[in-house]
Amino acid sequence: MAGAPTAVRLAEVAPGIHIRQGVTEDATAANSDAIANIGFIVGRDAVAVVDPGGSFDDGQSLLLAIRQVTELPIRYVVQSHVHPDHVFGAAAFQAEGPVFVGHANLPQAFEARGSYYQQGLEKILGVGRAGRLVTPSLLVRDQIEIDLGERRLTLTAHPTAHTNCDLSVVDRWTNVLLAGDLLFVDRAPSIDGDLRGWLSQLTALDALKVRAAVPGHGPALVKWQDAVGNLQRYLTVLLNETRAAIDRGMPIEEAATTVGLSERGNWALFDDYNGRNVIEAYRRLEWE
Amino acid sequence: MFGSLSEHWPVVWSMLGGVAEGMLRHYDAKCAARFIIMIVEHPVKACIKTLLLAIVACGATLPARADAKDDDARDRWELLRSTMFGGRTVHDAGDQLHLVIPERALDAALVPVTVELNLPTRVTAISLVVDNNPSPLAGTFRFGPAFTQKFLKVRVRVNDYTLIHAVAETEDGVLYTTSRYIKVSGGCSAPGLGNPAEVLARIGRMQFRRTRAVEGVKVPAELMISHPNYNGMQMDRAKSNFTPARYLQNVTVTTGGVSIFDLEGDISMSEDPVIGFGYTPADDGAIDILARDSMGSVFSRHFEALPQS
Repeated sequence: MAGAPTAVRLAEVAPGIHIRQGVTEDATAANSDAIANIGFIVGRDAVAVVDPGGSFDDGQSLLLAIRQVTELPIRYVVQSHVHPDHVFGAAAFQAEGPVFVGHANLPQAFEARGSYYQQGLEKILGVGRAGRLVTPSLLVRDQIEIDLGERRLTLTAHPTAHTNCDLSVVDRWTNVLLAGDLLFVDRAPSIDGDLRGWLSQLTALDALKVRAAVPGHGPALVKWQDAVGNLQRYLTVLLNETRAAIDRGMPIEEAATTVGLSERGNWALFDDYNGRNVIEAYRRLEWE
Repeated sequence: MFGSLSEHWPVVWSMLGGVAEGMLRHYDAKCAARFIIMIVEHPVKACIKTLLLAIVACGATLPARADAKDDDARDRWELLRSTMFGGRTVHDAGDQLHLVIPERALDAALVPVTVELNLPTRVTAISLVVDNNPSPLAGTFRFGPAFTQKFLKVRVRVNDYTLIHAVAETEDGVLYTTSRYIKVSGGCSAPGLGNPAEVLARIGRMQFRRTRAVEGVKVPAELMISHPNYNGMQMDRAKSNFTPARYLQNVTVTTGGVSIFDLEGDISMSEDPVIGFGYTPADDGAIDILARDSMGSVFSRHFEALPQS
């Protein structure tokens, strides 16, 4: 269990893009909340971390892994959204002096959820091991470009989708999309933003014509077309069946246990997330 | 690491205490499995692992500790009951009052609760209590003559594993109660991520849904009111301060001037409250809603009668 953090095994999924695949579990003391896909991109002059990890230990392991690959300075730590499994490792990078980057809504989301997440994670990992949030100083409202030295990354702030603060990264050199939790593969997606908004952002991302993507959860690298198709199908089933339930006057508690069940075999942890997704969808769609 | 067992007995004992207490407070199969995996993977000597596993196994089945949990819940309810109802006797409702809630909350911020009424005497009020919430009394409904004495549906926030109580008062002044236990996955309800400006833009919007299939003269209906029901625990970044509590304090619903119910609400009601109930249309069956929140804002709506089918 807890010991000195060790460098984790990362896969170089494209030249200079190193990804640590998260385990398909919820946070436990044993997994140190290392459940999301996190990693880094190496340019000529500097490194960008794209998601610092789910806990202080997770972040420190990533830092050690970076130092096994390169001694270049870590210039940016990009935080893809508010969820703890992606960002509680941030403090492990502070001594490196990077610029922390996030969606323009991220500071507000950290304020709203920060102490709630901190308590929840400390309950699971213990007080010293949870890590803490670092408020980004470089905020993205629409789109910005950062340069790691002959390696430009396009960072896009999305309207409310998976959450209200999703930031995606495209590496212009390899044309690989680091989608954060805008893309779930194999693991049941969780909706904490807006179902319809998420579907429309998937359409927008599709227009980028990237061939490969790093999902927030699932394999370290996937073919964009296949992966986005599965997610769109699930979200569309959820949208259509929840709307139909509301139209028929089916109560929310009944919808939560009946909507989306045809998708059950397609996603790990389905029973832990689908019912909650239905409630989230229902409470918004009933106002349509 | 562990020289002799007796030397480290206090450490072992406190670990066990924590583990057993955690298991009993949050006991379910998944949770127990995680504890066992944790112990198995822990780098201590095999004999200590065996001992830990044995005692955890005992802890999980020890009736004495389970009773302790029940005692806590009973003490809590006893305190709430005496605070809310003083010395009055609160009778067990038996099957005259039913609470329908999920065994485990899918979303702690929105737990649908249905109260089914089956009392021989007219019920004048129902209070809903989420025992372990910071503000346990979610709301008190006082019923008027147009309320159908069948069911009441609300959505509440649940912060922790807790009993939920419904207390009904009948017109002869007798109190009846029933309760159900609910588990909460992943702890208390996460504060919403909604943009405060958008939330304020839609505050007080209402919808009133009636089923057209009228059974006799009783109409099942659903009242939806857009309101953040801020519980005073959310941070407002712009003002670098906590968003003050702002919740629906009073909602009055009438049909043709006859009362259906009057609700005194609190912060344990979910955001965008939705209330389900049945009513007997009075006069032409039009509906009037008057709502007031804790900051003094007043919202009112008139809904025309349903066209005759």
